[in-house]
Amino acid sequence: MSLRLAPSPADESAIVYEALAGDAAARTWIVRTYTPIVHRFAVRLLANEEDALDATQETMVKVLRNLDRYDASWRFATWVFGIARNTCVDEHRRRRRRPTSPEVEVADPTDSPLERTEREHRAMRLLDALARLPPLYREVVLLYHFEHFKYREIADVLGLPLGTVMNRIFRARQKLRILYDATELETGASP
Amino acid sequence: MTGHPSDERLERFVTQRLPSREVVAIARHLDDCPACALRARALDPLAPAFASVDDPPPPEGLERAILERASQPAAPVVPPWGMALALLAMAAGLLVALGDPAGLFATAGRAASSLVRTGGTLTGLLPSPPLVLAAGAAVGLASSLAAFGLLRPSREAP
Repeated sequence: MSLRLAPSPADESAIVYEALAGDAAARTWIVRTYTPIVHRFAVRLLANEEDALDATQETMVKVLRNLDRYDASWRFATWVFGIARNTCVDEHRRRRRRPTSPEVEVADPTDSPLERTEREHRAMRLLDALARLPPLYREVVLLYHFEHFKYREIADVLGLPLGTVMNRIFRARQKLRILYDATELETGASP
Repeated sequence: MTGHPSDERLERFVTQRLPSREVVAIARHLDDCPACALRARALDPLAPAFASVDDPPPPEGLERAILERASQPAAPVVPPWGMALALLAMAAGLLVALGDPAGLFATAGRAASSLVRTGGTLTGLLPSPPLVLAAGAAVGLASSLAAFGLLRPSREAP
């Protein structure tokens, strides 16, 4: 499965229908499963913790209130991310806050102090480069590299043809690479 | 395309050194072949950097807040046309109430009668001015309420 989620699509559809019928446990499952995913997407797309919080809440409330509009021929995650993406775009237009510094959380206890420092540094540089990437490109990088969506699922989320999505991902990757390398020069870090 | 792409082709795909028709063919293959998709991700020059980033945890209490908010009725959504309709209706009500409704209707009646050659009978059918005034105000108020009535709690568009 491409997305970093556990349940099978069939199980998920069954849960969605239970939630639609008013089952509290199913609604809670949807919120517990998707809130962290939508939140991390929003944090990285909006590059602002406060906006991301609002967008996450708004997205999940919309998801719960619009379950009857979910078409089971789509993967539920694709539908949720479509809503999350639109909500983030609205939030970005509405607020236009400055990006806050990306927070890096590195918690692998098996890393040596040196490895941990290098890992933190790489993550910081990448998040910094990501925050400088235009939102148009940032969203495809997030969907492909962080959420592990398939190309055609990204096309579904964005409502674009596959060829356009491919093009955008390539351009995004090129720009990200340039920005990433630039952060190396700025900080004088070793590769 | 047939079979799995070689590492060299995948590397050319990742670094965008393939013709566009091949790019789409490989992309379709990667969508259906998790093993090749994994290989392609590993070939990305930024793969180690992507692997270094951990997920930010959502703030405590966010999930509970979402469940609570979703269980409450949705706030009325005011579409722009609803507000415009309400203002128009109020303006019409005021015009009828504060203007000269009897004269207004009489003029309209004369115009209509001249058109249909019914001979000014319409003005005679009008009720007394105070009644028209009250009816105008009522129509304005009712139209405004109806416009806002359309804004009753509704499902939000995703």
